[in-house]
Amino acid sequence: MASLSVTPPNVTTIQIDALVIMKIVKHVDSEMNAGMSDVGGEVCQGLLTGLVSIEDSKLEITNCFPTARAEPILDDENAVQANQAYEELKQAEMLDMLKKFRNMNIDYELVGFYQAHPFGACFAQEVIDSIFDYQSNVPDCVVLIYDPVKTRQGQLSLRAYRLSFAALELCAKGDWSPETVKSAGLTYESMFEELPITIKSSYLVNAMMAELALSPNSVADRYSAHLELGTRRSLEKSVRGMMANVDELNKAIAAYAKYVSDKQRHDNTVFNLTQKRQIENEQRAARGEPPLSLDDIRKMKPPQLQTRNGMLESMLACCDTQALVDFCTKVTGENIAKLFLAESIAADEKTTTKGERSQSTVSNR
Amino acid sequence: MASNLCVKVHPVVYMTIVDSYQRRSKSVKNQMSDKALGTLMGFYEKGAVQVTNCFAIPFNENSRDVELDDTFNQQMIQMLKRATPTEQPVGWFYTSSDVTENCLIFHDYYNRILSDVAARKESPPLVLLTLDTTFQTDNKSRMPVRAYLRTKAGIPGGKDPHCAIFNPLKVELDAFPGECVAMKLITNALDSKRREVTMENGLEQLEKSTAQIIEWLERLLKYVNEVLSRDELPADATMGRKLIDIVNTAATHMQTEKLDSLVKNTLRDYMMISYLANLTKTQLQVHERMVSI
Repeated sequence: MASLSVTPPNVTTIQIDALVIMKIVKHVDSEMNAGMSDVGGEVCQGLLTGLVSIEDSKLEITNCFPTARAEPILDDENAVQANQAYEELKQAEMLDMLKKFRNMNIDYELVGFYQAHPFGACFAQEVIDSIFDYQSNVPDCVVLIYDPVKTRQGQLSLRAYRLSFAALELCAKGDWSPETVKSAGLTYESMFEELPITIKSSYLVNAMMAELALSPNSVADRYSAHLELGTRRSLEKSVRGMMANVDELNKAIAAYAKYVSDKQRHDNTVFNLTQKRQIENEQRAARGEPPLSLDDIRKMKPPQLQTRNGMLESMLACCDTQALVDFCTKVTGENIAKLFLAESIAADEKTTTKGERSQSTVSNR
Repeated sequence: MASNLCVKVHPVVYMTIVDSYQRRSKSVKNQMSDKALGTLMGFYEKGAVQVTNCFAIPFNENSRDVELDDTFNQQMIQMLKRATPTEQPVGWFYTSSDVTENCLIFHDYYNRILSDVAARKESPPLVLLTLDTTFQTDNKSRMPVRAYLRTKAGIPGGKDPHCAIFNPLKVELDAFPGECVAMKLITNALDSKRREVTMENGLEQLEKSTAQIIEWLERLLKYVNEVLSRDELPADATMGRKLIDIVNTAATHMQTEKLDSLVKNTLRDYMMISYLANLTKTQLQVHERMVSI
């Protein structure tokens, strides 16, 4: 593994082609439309292609393509082999697709991947692994997280993340013990970097959008889901997710506390033993005997943090909770605003007919 | 024989077509065909074809011969099928203002592809979608989209049909709910000089649509007042009915008592959730401090 060759990224902003946005949204939507996955659409993944413009320190994502749906994992002895074969097939398909992109004059540099995740709480071990994989190959890779829940509520939600350089280095070392994390100065907030996104459309696309807006039953006017008052179910789900994450976090904290006390005890024992040995050694020196070595004390095993991946797990739980919390606060904030809006309109309604009409526009659309 | 098949095209298809037209190859060899061509993917509904995806393929047409990359096409179809198994090829697109002679050949080719895929013996209708990206038609400010279905024509009783006619079909814009939202956002790029948009914040969006509602209401009010004040303006019956509809929905959807209880209850719920969320956030921060000590 090219573990030490991580390079810092060059880009600071991301420019996404309108086409890419539509393609990602379509991928998840058609999946839901076919009823193959419920609102989550977790299985929707794909790869992003584009180009890096170092001068403007900008990453342009100009196209993307979906990867094949994951096959159900079988629980027999062939599973490992089947999975491996599947992975290989996926790789071959990816290369094939890139070749095809090249044939069609589409930018064919791989610049990351996209993934759909409800509430944008996507931070899991697999995501870290894959983004690390991409970033160690091409330093400017990002992962786009698309939130279908928020989008269905009428607001497109797409975020671009990458591992911060410190996290990247830790990933390369594969060492997530408390000491290294602390010395790297890494916290859950600085683990991922979010990059600002702008969406760009070409002149011709703009012309076409204008044309489409002229069509008699323009879609854009038909939907205004962001005025919907009922977002309770998604909120409930998000709070549930939050609870699960907090539980996870508590476990991690307990493990950490145990680790800390173990560590203290261990340090104390080592210290005591060393002092004892030193005193003994002094006595032996006074008696003219050779001193005993300290090696056996140094060899005593320090305690280990009782989680699979050291601090990584708790940090991921933190990130997830953070995302859910953000979702909750935002949605509740908006909903309270909407409620006040509805209330004031209703108050108006009693006195004037004008208010009545405006009210209905809210509920009608 | 006119068909009443309706072609429902999703925005992503248009965007892919436009993109592939912009990226068309301009090599000397390919000079003659300054166009893009590709396969439409989608599914059939009752009385309609949903076109949900598409991709461009390399092709070549000049005065002497016409060719396209069959393996490329087949492989792409297979790959897209693995990603979204519900889609199948339903037709092809061509960025041209009219249907040329070569279209017959391409159409034959796609017919073959389709009948390979189709399980039944009778192959489903094959659609040709044209998008005039060069604005060559009479009305130069529009970008016309047309769809055709080929039908055979000839003298009745004859063995072979004598000719083929591309019958125009009705084209509609359709989108999944998520696509609508995304499209709405992207359409905003029309107003920006740099053709860029950024993600909207929820409250900003709310503010914007509230402003829009108010604007519409003012327009409505103006209209109503005008009709009332001046006798010579005719009172439009459909307009009146729509207004009544609006008023009715307001009355039924938002009864005062109902609204009151709704506001009271939900407000409390939202406050609670908001409080919990903030509490969690605080806990996260405390945890962070604890670890970093």
